[in-house]
Amino acid sequence: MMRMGIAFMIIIFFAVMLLAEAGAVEFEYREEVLDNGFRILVEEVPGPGIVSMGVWVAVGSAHEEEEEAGIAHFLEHMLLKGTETRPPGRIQEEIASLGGRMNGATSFEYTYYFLTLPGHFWKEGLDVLADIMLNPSFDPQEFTREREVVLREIDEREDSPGSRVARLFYESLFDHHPYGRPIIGYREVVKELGREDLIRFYEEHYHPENMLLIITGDIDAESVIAQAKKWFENVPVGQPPRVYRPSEPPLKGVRLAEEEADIRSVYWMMGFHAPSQEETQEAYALSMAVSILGGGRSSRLYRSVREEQGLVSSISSSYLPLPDAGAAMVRVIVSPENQEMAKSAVREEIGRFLEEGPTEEEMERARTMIASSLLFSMEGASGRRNQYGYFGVSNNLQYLRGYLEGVHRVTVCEVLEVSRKYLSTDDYLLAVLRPLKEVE
Amino acid sequence: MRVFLVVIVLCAALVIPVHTAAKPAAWVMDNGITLILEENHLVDIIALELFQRGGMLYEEEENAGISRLLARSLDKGTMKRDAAEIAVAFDDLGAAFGVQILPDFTGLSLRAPGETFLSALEILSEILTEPVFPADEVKREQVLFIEDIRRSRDEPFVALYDTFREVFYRDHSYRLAESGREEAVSSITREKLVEFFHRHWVGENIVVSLVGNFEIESMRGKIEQLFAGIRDAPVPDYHSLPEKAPDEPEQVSEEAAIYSTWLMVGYPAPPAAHPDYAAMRVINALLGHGGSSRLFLEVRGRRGLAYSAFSFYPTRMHPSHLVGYAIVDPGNEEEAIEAMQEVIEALKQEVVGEEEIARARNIVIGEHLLAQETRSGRAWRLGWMETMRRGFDYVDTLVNEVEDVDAGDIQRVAREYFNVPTVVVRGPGGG
Repeated sequence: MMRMGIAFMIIIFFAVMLLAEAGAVEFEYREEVLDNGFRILVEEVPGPGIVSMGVWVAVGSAHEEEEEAGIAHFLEHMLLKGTETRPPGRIQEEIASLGGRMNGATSFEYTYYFLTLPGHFWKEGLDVLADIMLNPSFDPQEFTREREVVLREIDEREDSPGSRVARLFYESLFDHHPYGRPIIGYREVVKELGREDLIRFYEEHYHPENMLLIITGDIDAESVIAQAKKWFENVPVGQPPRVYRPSEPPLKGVRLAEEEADIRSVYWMMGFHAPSQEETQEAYALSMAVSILGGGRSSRLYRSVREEQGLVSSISSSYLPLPDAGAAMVRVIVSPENQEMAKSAVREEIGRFLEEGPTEEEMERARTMIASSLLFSMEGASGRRNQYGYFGVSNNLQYLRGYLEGVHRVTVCEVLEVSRKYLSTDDYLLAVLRPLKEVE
Repeated sequence: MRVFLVVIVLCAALVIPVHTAAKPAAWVMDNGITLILEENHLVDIIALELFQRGGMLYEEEENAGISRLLARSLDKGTMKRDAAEIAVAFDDLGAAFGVQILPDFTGLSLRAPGETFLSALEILSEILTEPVFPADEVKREQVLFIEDIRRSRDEPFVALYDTFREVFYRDHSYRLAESGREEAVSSITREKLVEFFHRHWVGENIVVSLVGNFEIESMRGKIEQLFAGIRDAPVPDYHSLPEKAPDEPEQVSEEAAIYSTWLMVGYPAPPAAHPDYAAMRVINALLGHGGSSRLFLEVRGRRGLAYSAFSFYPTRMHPSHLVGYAIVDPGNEEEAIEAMQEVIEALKQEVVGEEEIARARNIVIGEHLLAQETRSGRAWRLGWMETMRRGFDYVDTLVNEVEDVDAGDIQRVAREYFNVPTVVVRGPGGG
């Protein structure tokens, strides 16, 4: 499920960070906040008879202490295992029987449980989803079995070069902040976690004011809200613990983090600290910058490093704004013999961008690409659910709504200014996964 | 609860709508292209999916990868624009252009907001009718392609599946690595590429499917005008002919410095146009789709041998395969292989209960419906089924066929296909 979680995070991230411009997308959701703080967001999306729903909980790996790293993700697994009335296996069986699919995912700041199914089964789907959230059984036998599953998942992720270099990237970029810890946790910590630890973590964080229910698709909003209230309005209020979040000192010089694996290409990620979701105007401007630099086949890095110099088989840049901090990155896959030339070429291209700034033509192109990316990402019920969840869980739907207009307003000067503030050819992180020496 | 569930399941099978928009319409153009159009005005997006039927079926050991190199080189220049101008033009229109290479076809996709779609379509028609395959661009793609071939085996699943197909197929081009062969790709010249394009990208081999915010009549006229330049020529024979399934069990192990052991247990399975296709789809759902499937419950749930235990059944024009796969701790592979074989082959002896079959049917139908949530998804499915020689309307009748699958079909199909396993293992110490 972790694999799914990371995948979704990336989808959302690309969708959101490459999106923008006004006019193309309409937001027609209804939001209700119950007396206990539980939030419900519903949107009628006419289409091929599908409903998508999910509960986002504002707790992820960044809410963990070092000695419990991985507990949020482990808990996600356990919630999907069974409830007081649904024994292990029943949840998946029930959703599959309805022609739907269901999963969960964990990220830095949130965990979510989502399903998509034929629209006329929305009530049955909501019934399962609410039961998972409110009545988990934490079956002791399942707990023991699931821990083994999580441990294997850790190994599996380390076998994938893309996942492994991303883990290396975040742990090196965020030396102090919990964003540096792997979402999936550490093997030795997961081995020691007990069932009671998971129950405690659940009781501490799964409170109504920490949760957001989203339902989009071929539905009647009125009926859906009424049904959701029946489930969630009587859940008692709680008080989630505060977690200490240290600030991250700036990168000075080149921070190199390297590992070896049984692979043939070199995977590297060049990284920079970047604005958080709170720094809205800077975030919009940096989104434009990364789009122009490496956001598509007409982007500077793609054209120069891949197409003109033929140095890399894959290159892109992106930016992930999180509530506490952000990360901007250039991802490259390169042959061992080209890696040094590729590094120089990327640095040179970033340097040129920081020197000259974007052209008006590039700005316009980025706005157009971002606008259609938004349109595409919010075409169906599932895409809309994911966008609302990602921003809604941190009470930042305004970021999404304002993104359209915000990106449209960003000027060349702002892009240049924010790029010079955060990107650099001297101070950056380089996370590298390279072939074992004998392979090389 | 169980009784209640059965009632839900049976009702579900009767009422799931597959698609609520207007019905698709299709024509064969003068040059042989099959054109499928469906209006959908809910969102201002138009999606096009183009399929060049044949793909790797036209490849052999000596030129393995030529379809992929061709697809990578296709948008690198036309009579009017160079590669950079094409990339900029698509991005300026907010259009997403992509290529996909699968064993039975090469696919091109184009998606754009309604207001810019026709301009993007003009660029696509240039790519198809006036490609120039600039020598330097082809050379560069060739070098990068070879790097990608090397890289593709960095992913354990890709490496394992390549090995599986190599063992499972003897002569058929399905045995070739989907990412291409390094030596073969190195030997492809620009001339061979151009010749391959002109021979195989002919009207009768092409299916074009569009769904979105347009009027059928005007879109049909536009496509006929813009795609008229695609050659009307005889379709060449495939290099590969359908091949008989393996008659002896085989097991192959590979060593890799990875943490887990990955394994596949595969059996023959019918092609897309075979009458057993729908039944095998149901079997696949029953065996290895999600947390309530038989493989998952046995290998991960009951025996705790694996994190992942699933199955897949690729839809192919020629005989295909059903594969169970699992990721296990090193040392557990023999027990896992035995368990997977037992689970799969049990279907030959057992009469599966109606409740379980109904669940599997609904998985297939639900997945089919969910895959059509976007215009691209719907266009792709329509064109895909036409390309696989099932006919585009099979997208909407598949549901009925799946609903008709019963316990007798499952047992009969299992007995027909699940007799000779092919097993491949990849892990530390060779698994």
